[in-house]
Amino acid sequence: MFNGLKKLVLGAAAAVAVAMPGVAQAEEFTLEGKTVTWIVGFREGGGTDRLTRVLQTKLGEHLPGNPKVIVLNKPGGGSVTASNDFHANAPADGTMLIMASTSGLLPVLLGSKNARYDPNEWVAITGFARGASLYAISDEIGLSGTDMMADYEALKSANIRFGTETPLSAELLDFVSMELLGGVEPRYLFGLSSKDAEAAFQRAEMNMNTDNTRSYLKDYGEDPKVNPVWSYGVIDESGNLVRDPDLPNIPTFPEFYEAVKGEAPSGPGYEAQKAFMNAKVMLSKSVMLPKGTPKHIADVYIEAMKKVTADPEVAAALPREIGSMPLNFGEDTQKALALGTAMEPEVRAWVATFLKERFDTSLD
Amino acid sequence: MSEAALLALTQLTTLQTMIALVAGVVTGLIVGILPGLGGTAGLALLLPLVFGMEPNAALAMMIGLVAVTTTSDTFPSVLMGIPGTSGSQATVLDGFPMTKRGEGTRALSIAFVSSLFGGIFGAFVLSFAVFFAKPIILQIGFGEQFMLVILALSMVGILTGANLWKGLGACSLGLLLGTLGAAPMSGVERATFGSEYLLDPLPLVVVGLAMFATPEIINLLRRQSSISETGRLEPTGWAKGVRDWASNWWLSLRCSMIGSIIGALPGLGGSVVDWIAYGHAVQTTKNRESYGTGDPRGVVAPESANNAKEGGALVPTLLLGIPGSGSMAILLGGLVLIGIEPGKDMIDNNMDKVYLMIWSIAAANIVGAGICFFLAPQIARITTIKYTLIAPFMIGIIFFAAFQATRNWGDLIALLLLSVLAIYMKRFGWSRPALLIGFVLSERVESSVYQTVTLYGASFLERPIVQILVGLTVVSIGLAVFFKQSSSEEMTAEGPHSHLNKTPQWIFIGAILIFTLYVLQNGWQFNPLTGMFPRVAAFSMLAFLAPILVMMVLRKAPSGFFYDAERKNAPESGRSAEFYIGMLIVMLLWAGVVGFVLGIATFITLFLRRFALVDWWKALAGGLGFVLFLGIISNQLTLRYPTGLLQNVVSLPWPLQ
Repeated sequence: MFNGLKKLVLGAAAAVAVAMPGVAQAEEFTLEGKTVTWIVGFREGGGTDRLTRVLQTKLGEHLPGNPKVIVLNKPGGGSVTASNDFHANAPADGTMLIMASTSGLLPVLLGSKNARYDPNEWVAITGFARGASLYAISDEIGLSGTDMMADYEALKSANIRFGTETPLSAELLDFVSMELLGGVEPRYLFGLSSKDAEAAFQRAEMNMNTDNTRSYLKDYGEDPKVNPVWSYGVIDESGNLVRDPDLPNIPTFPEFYEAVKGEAPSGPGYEAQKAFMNAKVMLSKSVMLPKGTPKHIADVYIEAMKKVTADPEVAAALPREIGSMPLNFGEDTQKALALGTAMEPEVRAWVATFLKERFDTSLD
Repeated sequence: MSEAALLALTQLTTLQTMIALVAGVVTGLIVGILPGLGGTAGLALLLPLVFGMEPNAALAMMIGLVAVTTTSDTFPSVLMGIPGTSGSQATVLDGFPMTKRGEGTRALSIAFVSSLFGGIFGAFVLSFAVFFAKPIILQIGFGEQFMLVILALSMVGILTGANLWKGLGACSLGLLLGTLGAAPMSGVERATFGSEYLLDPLPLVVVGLAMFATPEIINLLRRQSSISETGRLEPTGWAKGVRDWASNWWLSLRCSMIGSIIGALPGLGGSVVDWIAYGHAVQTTKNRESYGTGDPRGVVAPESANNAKEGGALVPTLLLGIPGSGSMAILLGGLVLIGIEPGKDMIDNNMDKVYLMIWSIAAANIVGAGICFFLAPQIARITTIKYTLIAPFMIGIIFFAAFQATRNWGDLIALLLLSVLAIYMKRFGWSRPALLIGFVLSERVESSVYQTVTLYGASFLERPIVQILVGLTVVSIGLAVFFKQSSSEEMTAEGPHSHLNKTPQWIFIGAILIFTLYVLQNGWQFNPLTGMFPRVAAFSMLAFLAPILVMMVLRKAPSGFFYDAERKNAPESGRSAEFYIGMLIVMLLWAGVVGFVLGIATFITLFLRRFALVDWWKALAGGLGFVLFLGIISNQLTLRYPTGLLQNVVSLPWPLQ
């Protein structure tokens, strides 16, 4: 039965190939009889793993020669271990790819000595953007949600409790954003994974939290007590930051800043905020081939990922990754990557000072 | 409510759903029996299949798998002394000694009945808990979680072994091992010995295998011809095992309750459930000196609890959408794939799906235990085979299992080093369960103390559930102190407690001291968020070492502080433990050259030829057989093995990579 199906798909793929002259060169490249290994730098069961396994089911169908695609979990150091290995050893022949995520980009962005890889050298295939927002229990903090100036005053006087994993996690975006406003001094509680922080928020031991927008809407969309303070927005095709399409009525962070400070945010602190936003929102997850992979192989993968992500079954299974935010491919992903992994020296110095003063934490 | 339950039952009893359930159960039994793999790895395999499946069938398959991994993991725990998953580490303590007495079938029988009972009890609890548990779970804040950890420590504190100070020292050593690697609150790497492997903390699987599996394998190699000392298997073990369970039904019920509660509450996590149940059994029953020597109650307790915890862990997963364990996290992903979003919406609108899960847990436990009962007589025969014939395969399997932790060479090296530690802990009478418990709870102790104090200061003691837990802890400590029994072993100058020739013990204690000082000086380099816990753990270690050191220096007569198992019935013709440690080192070095698969194959072949004295062709067949086994597993479970220098030079075909 599966053989028949395979033939059918093969036939369909061939038909598509003939119909599209642009992929003629790609046709020569085949992965027939090969096994494609898709590296996931985390344990089975997390968000990155789940996304990869859903895409895995369809990727083989859309690659020339219909290779077997397997997912290999290599946990360690928040994907640093797997990324180091991938950077040094992965064959550039289209048989190995990696699913990178924000936590793999942060160590590069912050210049950690453990990260002996540069994602900019990798060949980007697809980037999954995922909106994020900062939300709170409105009554506890005294947020009205209608008047930003009043909300700012409330944030300054409230006893904010925010749970997070470590000072060097993806929540840096939230830490830096609140720091930029000035006068907002949350109490950070460390050692909480995102699921622990979520549980503590449900118990109201924490009164502020962050999550991807789709999860926020699912968990609290109907709950009048829990409301977003701001979203981190999304960068549109012309490079401008616009509102999160899932939260059209919620201001983005720069909007909030401008409303309460009377001027648009600027300076090294804001540059840092933008870099973290790029790493967390625009490159929530990204599919990459190893450095040195020839262009015709990358093109084959880009085409295949376009088809996989357009599959209605895949889209239905990935409500948090596909739908509202734009997917990016190839060049676009590479550009976002350059923004999300680079920091000017004075920006990094700002971050280092901030971490030292606020958390007594150094970048190494 | 009953309508939804009946609807779910009819959904489950369709042919398609039942087939899916059985398929899930069989997969679950297989990953459970393979040490190092558990529900998480199994579910990850099913996830792509689930995609596009009919929802009821997919649900039954996933639940079927999770529900039974802690049933079949009993096989390696009981028969070989290798913890099958982290949920059955405590089962080894009494299950394996029973097997050594030739009572392997009896121990398995107890374990399967207990698992069956615990599993169904867990399903029963779940069916009620979905209605009222949410407010209770939401009451368990940081203060309550902190007290739960303290209560757990007090319950398992009874497992310190013959000498209290050495037991507490072992527990501190576990805490110290838990401080290695990334700190939970800052992510800063502590005491990494310069290794990238310690970017993360040591994996529990590796520590568990090292503590229990390796010392037993080496001990058996030195002393016995087969696992069963008599070389036979008691034929009436089955009925006996069922009777053992029946006469301990009350203990089984209590431990099932403990299992499902701990599974449902945040704070402790599934990997201590078996230890807490075991500690509870020791605390609350008579004749506690027989624990650890093959007492049926030591099998009943953890096996009842570890199956019951799955039903419990589903409670927060379904009610709050927050996974109660690693396998629940991936189950949650699977539920989303088939269009079910756990949470309030599910309880309101998809109650039939909830019941389908509950029925599936019950049915899977029945089918799983049934299959295990059916297979066990054959599998148990392994304990009557000449040990030198199976030992090399078991060594291969524990290294395979350790490698599944992070798929890194570091797993193998960590297993070797910790195994050496465990071998000498066993020899010098330091409690290995105490170390493991300290290790398991280490991170929880560190973060829950910090979180509670930061958030509440001392005012957390005003919370009512905290006060109840404090009360329970006092009772628990009271039980431990009041019923404490002293070692019955005679203290003579010739026996293991002798004060003569303590050089080996001095070397061991010296090594521990150096390690402690290393962690301590490393901890001083960091700010309190990172460095406080290592300092506290190191100081507690030093505090417990102090009386031991004083006794070592001053006492000139036999004492409970001294212990050297080598002075007791040392094998006359057998080789030393050091010989076997050396053998493992050579094996790993060779694997570094030719890769894990070929390295193990060479080792098995040579071992079979040299120590089991079989023909060359048979020894070779043994090695090749293991290569084939690894190859099939790597294919079916999408695993890769550690490569060596050889693989860097040439690319080898399956299964030799």
